[in-house]
Amino acid sequence: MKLSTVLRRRTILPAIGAAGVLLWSGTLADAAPQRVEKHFTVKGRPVVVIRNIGNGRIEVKSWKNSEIVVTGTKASEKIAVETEQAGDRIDVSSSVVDSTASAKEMEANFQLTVPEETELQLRTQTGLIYVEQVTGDMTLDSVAGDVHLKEVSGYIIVTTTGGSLVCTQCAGKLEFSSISGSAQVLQPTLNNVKLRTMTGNILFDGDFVHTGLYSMRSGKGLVEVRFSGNDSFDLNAQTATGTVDNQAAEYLKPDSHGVKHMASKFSKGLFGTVGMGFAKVELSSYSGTIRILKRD
Amino acid sequence: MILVAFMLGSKPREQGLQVQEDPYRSTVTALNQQEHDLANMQLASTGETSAVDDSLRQNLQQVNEFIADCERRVREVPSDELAREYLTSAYQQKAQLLSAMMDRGGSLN
Repeated sequence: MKLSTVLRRRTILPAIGAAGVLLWSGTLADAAPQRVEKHFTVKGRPVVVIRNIGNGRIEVKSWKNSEIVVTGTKASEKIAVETEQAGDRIDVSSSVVDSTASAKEMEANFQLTVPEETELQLRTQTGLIYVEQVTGDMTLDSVAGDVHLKEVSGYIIVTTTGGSLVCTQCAGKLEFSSISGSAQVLQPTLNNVKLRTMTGNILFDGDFVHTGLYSMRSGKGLVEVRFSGNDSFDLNAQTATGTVDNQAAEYLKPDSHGVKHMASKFSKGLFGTVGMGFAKVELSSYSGTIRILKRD
Repeated sequence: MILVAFMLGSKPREQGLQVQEDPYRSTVTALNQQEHDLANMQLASTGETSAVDDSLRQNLQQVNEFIADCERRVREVPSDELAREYLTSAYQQKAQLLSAMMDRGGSLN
């Protein structure tokens, strides 16, 4: 493991057992941001875990090397950052070392470069989580920070309280759960999608994979699906007190599979088939609008 | 949160078609108690509130408003299964949110 640190004089390097644990801490109480860079050699498919208890951005990009580079900046000495390598698992966590730390002093930002096939578990509070060109299962948690994913694939689970998701050219399986965050899924090749938000909006703009399952729910927000003329899916759209805005009536035929759908007499529903109905699309809202349209 | 999840999980699915007083009463009581405890924690705390605390508080308010809306609908139309689904889901999200706020040491004003 190669170690390169800008502020070497402030670094403590304890090693515990087989795992290497590094603590970025300091003795001087200046408030200047501090930058540290670390390199971890890995074999196979590594797992990277980041728990950022403070605020800050996490950015992950990939390369073809079997090495993980972690670059971190922290706002003050009142927050400590620890890293640990145990085989192919890399843990990065931040902790408060001075309880008088203000929110600004608790900020820590991380930039990672990882092998293309890497599993991720990332957690932060308010900063952006950005992941690009990584293949592997990932669990991404944020309170108020947004999550932007580009060209990622795997089993992707995103949970936020108020942060929004933008997933561009994602593949595999996607789950999103939020209270007020919105979700945009653009040009995907996802075969399993489950999007849930209480007050946020949902936009799915892309193709439905044959045999794919797609479920999208928003309590109060807009649920909008834009499909292509080549798509093939069964549609089930229901709202309790909202509206269903069907702008693709000419493409939607009665269900061709012999299953007779009926909306509850207390809700408004729209059922039908586009093409051969290979994929299954379920849209739901409590009081929001559900909009279905064919994109140009 | 576990208690609330258990109470929501043990609720019979078909009860929307039956005549019942208020199947969510115990859930609501538990959530209100947890929210009350959280408020007391906040009063005891002298720390500054952060953007995260603000976000959690705003989201709790949105959850409460959504719950009130769904409760009103379920009272008016007890057989609206979709509204019940959203109400149950909202209670679960409130339980998770309160738990997260408790973990942070209280962030309710």
